[in-house]
Amino acid sequence: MSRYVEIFFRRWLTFVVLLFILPPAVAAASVVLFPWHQATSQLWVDNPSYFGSIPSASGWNQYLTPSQNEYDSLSQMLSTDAFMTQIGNDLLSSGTVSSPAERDAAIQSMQGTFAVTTNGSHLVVLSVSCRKTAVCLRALATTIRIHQDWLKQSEQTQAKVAIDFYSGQLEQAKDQLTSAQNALNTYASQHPGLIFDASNPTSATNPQLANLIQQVQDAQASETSLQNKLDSIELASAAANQIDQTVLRLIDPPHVQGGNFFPSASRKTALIVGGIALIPGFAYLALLAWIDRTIRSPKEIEARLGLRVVTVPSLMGKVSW
Amino acid sequence: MSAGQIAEELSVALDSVLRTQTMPGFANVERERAHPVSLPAWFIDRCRQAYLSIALSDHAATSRVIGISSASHGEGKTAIAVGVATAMAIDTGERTLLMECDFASSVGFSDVFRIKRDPGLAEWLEGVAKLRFVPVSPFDNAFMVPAGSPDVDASRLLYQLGETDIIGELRPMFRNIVIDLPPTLNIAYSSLASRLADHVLLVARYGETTLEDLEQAMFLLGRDRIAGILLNQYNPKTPRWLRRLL
Repeated sequence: MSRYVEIFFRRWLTFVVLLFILPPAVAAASVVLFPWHQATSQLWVDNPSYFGSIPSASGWNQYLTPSQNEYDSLSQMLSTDAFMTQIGNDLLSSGTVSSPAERDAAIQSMQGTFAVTTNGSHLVVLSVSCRKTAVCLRALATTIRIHQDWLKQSEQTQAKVAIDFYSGQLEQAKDQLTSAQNALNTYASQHPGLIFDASNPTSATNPQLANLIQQVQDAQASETSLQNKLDSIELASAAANQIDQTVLRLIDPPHVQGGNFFPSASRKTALIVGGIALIPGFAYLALLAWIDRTIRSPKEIEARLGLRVVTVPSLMGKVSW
Repeated sequence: MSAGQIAEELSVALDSVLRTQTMPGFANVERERAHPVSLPAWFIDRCRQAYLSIALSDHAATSRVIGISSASHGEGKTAIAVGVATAMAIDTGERTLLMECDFASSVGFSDVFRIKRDPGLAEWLEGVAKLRFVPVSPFDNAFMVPAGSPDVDASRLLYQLGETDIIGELRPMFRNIVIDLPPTLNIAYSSLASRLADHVLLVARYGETTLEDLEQAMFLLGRDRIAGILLNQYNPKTPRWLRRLL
């Protein structure tokens, strides 16, 4: 270690330039020559219990805040290749990028720069960094749209399954009610003079009649219950179509930060470039330390040769003999 | 007794020593004097630390013969040798000799002390001149022997030097002898020359000497003979507070 430090101080001016001036200069140049832009957008997330009849959206944890649920959902979506493919296709189809090669380059530069952060219990901040402002804005708008579509589709798909199921159940319940009512009517026509209250099975003195009345009432209750469930699911399905206005509202549309803003992608690039620019300095230092085999300290002599350094006289270049 | 009187007495004493020594070829002390070399006090103090680290562990020796070597040229070996000799001359007050054995150095004692290059050790080894001792200003107890201008291969001279007993002859005359040895990796026979010294201090230069070179120099000189390493021009760029943390 002391060897490298001594070499450093022997040529300190060179190393100050190579290690302390050049890397920051190169890093600053990289920021100026290859700028990054960051687009951000803010979403307001509401709990789907807002609908009243639905406890939570599919996949949402009821113990987390809406913004935390949304963060979790968005983060997972952003990490998929399918999402990036969709973004790429949208950039190309919208004319934001002119060629597949440009699209691929844009996607590659954007990958890893998507960021989701929560701000309080309902606010979610979405950001992305890229080389071109238009790409950033388009990518962010597309991300929000994809997520809304995905949420909408997810809700609707589940609602459809439930509607199909409960519709079938309701049909059966209706059939059962019709059968029960027919049986009661048949029995009543076969026994004229029977007096009973169709809404109260206990009013019948005949046990068979009481049983028929009970069956009708059960079938009616079942049909009503299924109809209520079906109505509730149909409401949810209808509400899912307007999810962008209810659960996931866009507060701040995608916009690019202006002024002296220094995006994290630029900082990262500057750090990488600065780090790479340090390599020549350290390589030169290592090379000099390897080449220079001269004695650097009395300790070095004593350690290597086992001989005592009795004194360190020095005329400091006053004489050459 | 004034400083001038002391210098005069020491000069006379040295004259008598050199006249009575047995080894043929020793020259009388010439009346030329080496110009003083201005070394900062703190530098000499660092060099003092170096020789003291040896002297403390070698009380029994009658004289101290310290060789200063390095892995290659240009690592400050000569400056350290001058610094150590100066510190020893000042501290001990005893006669101190600085001997240049690096025949291939581009900057020799003649340049440092601004004296004639020859005759010197090389000429003496070739048998063409007597050994030349030059007093070093401003000290009266410090002398030096320049390397001279060898006409033949320096390696052969160093071999010859190893074969002589020059240090044995000089020991009775000089309590402290500092030898500026040739660099270990550049000069053949340098390890042979290094045997003239009781102890060798190896100089390494911060930011220039490699650990591998130092390791090889240590291997050639012999690990046991190296008393320590002097890390010259040590000027770490890492701030002190950071060095403490690392």
